[in-house]
Amino acid sequence: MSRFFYSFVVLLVFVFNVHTASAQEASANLTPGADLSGVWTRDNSAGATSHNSSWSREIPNMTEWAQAQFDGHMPTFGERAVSVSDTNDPVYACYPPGTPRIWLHPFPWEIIQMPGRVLMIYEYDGFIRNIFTDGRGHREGIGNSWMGDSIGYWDDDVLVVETTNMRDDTWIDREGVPHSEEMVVIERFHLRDDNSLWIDIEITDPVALNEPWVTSQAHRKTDWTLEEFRCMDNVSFSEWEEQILEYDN
Amino acid sequence: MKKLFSLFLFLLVSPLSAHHGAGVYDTQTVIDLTGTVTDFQFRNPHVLIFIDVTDGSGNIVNWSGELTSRNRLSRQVNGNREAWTNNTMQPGDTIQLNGNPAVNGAPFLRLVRVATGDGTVLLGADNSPSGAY
Repeated sequence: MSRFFYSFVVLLVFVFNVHTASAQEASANLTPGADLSGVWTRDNSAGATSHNSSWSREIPNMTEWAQAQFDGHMPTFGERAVSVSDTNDPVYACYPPGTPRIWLHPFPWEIIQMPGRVLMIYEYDGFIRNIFTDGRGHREGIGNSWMGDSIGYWDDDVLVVETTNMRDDTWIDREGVPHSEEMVVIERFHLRDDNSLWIDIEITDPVALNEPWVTSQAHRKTDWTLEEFRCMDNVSFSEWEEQILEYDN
Repeated sequence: MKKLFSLFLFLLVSPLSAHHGAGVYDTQTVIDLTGTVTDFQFRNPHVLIFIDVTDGSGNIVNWSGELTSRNRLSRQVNGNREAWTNNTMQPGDTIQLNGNPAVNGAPFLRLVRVATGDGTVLLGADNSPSGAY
């Protein structure tokens, strides 16, 4: 009971602060400070702190609640990796990876900038994030969703995106780190001199994380067009995979 | 008949696919096969090639091999080879495949190199892994 009350108070303070800060920033910074448009793909060689399956090499500082969830998760990556046939990773059942995990899946994605709005389109299963940059705050009463509710503003040439209202049945990474519905993800998108696009990410969750999980990821621009890639194709492909596993000489 | 089946030690493996869990393929071994294409599935999440291979006893075995996704091969992000299309190979073509065999002996490969009958490399190292690794 006391933990619940504490979490509730922390959430109230946090949400109030975030809303206040966002509204102030957004009203002053609605003009795009950079052109981030294009098709991008992750570049693991650029020295960012994230890697193929998680946001850092170390497991984050989790709460007791999160540790219990984590212990029950059986990922296919990391030190606790199991085979695909044994995993309970929801993405293998074609559930959306959610925000921010979508960034850990190695598929290209596209930014389309338009007045008052930035679209992020992901080749992986065609997910779209509709990020409003017109000064509005988070919508109320919409419930939770896989990719969350995103608003953005420009901090000079940095696009800052704040995402809330995410379902709690996604994992933050591909190694089984959980989160609650109270997770807030702040992403800062900016170009470097070499025209690489960096995303600095801060994940806070008063229920799951004892401290913010801070990381970065690098992307390089491509001349590709996004193609179709649907998770459900894995279902028909699994017939071929099962023939391997069931092979009897 | 020319030897069709040989094993090579494969030390450096860059997985083409993260779809499978560990243990399905023997990543320390690369098999070298040449045969006739019976089916070419240019699809996601993995492109599939099926070839008929005649073994040392004269029996025909239908092998299949998986690659990365159609999207990646169509962008040619695995090296400096030509981008693949759905016409990259046709049934009846002679194809050489190098790949990691299934651990349980099934005639399935995770492909690391594909070349045409005349030696044009479509994916992977210039030379067959016996020379490349």
